Amino acid sequence: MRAIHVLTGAFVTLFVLVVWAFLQPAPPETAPTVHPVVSSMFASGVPPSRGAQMLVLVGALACVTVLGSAVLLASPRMTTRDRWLTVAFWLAYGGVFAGMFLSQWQYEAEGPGRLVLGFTPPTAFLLFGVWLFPAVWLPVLMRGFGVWYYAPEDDARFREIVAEHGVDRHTRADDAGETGTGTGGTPE
Amino acid sequence: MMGLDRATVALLFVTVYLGSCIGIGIWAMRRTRDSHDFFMAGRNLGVVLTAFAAFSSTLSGFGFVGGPGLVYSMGSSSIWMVATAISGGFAGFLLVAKKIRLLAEVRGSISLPDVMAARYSSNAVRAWTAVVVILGVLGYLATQILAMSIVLRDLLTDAGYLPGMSLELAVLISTGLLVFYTVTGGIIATVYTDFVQGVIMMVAGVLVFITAVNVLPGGIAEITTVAAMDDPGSVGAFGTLGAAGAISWFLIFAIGGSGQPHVITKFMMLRSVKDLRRVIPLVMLAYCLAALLWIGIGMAMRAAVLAGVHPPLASADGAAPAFLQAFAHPALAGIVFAALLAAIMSTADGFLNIGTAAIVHDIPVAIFGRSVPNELFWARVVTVVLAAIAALFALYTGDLVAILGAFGWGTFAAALVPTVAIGLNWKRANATAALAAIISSLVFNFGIKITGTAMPWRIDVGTASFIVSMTLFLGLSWFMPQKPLPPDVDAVMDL
Repeated sequence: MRAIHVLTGAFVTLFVLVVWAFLQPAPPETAPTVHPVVSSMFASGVPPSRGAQMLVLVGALACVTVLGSAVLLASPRMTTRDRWLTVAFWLAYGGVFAGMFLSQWQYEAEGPGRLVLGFTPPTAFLLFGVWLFPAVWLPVLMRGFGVWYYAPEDDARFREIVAEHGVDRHTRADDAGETGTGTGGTPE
Repeated sequence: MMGLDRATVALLFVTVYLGSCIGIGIWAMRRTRDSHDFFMAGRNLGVVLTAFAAFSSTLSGFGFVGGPGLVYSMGSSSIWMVATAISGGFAGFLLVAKKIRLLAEVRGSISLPDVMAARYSSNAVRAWTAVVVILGVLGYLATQILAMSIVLRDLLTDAGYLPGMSLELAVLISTGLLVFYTVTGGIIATVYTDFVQGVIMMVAGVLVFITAVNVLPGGIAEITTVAAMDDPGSVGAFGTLGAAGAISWFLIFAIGGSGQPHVITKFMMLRSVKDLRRVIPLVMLAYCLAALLWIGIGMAMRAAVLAGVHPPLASADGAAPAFLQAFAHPALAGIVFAALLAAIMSTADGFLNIGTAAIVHDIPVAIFGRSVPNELFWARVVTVVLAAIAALFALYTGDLVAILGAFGWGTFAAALVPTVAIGLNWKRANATAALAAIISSLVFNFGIKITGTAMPWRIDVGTASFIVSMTLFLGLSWFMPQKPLPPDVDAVMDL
């Protein structure tokens, strides 16, 4: 399956969820309210039903799928090994989201308890998982950049394209008011 | 700094910073010889300049005032906006950076609408992309100028200079400063000032975070405990906004970066595509460090108010100024005020540049088939005029500024992520789909804003609009027959 198919599937899922959201508005008690003591703050509403939260989790996983398929769409000549590493990474990232939701549900049920590095467990998932965990894919990018994102052969091929089709800087429209192809318009 | 009061120290730092912007403008003037230099920096930027230009354009004044205010008022919710920095950076920048840079060189493009016209072989796409850019520029620029004017007026008043200064005078000074270096040095001055601005923002982010976690004696753990005892949901994963709203912010801020014209055009100026290997991680690192200010101030001020260490704030946007006043060393406050102006100005100058390109270059080409004569001269004239119009907007058209200001990130993402980010990587995408995505995003966003429709489950308007426009774009591209691409575009898209 190609990345664009996966991307399309993810957006169709998100579209269906948005339509569902319009058709099934949230119960009013779930909305945040003005803080009872400090009017410049909000206080949380009641957590929505578990079913509704499951749908949000589906939406979150669709968002992760959008990002993962975007990376693959941008790197069509990724090596098989790096492609699998990338897929594994984004699956793990989806796992981080699933873990965060589970942690949040436990937190909602049990209330504040132990802290992880100074944060509640679900917020620790957010900070160290959703935010910082993706840095583990960085070595894949750094190592593979010159192989599957922009290899020396790509650069050589690009120089050929520029030589064949490119607009020479000194013949560009610039200040002469001519357009040529230098305006990027419809080609001859 | 002994003997100087807090306001004077802050003004001193801000004066040094503004002076450096003016100096860079004068220096860059000599390096700006034609419109390619003015708009594209001669396509000769190195790793650090490109990375800092992209990063500092991304983080506007919102990151220094609105962002901390959101964490203060909503708890963890707005952390979702910055938690996208790494995952979104990978996805968005890999999609856009290489293709936009390569196509710009092949076609000699000097603006985003130029690149889009080349990709879709369509002047209609060029014109609509330019319309999106101009509408966004007016709104963003007006709000940034207004924010800069208020900060400058308050600084000068607090320090005892120009007491009773009018907002009009502050707008005049702010616009004059902004216009000076963008007119004289064009994008070259802009990216070098972006570098200075980016460094200030990173330093401020780290120093403020260290200060913020020590506002209560027990550090982060006590900050969390105080907030959790008051409202456990505020320090849960989604804050007070709820899960659907937080996840919608995640999507629009993660992938939406690849549709921000003032950010992605910076990649067109890169000297070599090979440099992206280091540019992308550097942008992520810089953003993460600067975002520490956003999170640190918001969390610390919420806990400080709840613990009775600080009186309640009149409005959430006062969180950052109140924090600096109560907890920061005067020198740190000075750095942060300079960073705030830096964040505002680095976004504003980027918009000024792309707005000018749209007016001087893209609209004339779309309508008349050719650009204006002597583009460099007219670029400088239009920069002044555009800034003046934005300043007048800021001062005299409150509701319109609010509507255009709401245009923002979400509308750019909805209009341009499908058209630019996906379109540059998928040969099947066509001009009809691109136009549908752009027009639907404008109709949806302005429609919701003007009718005052409440979004269900607190889903972000821009996110809903983005999902609709992307679904339209993908659907139309899939169901319409694929058209052949120009040979050079086809070849570039294979790379």
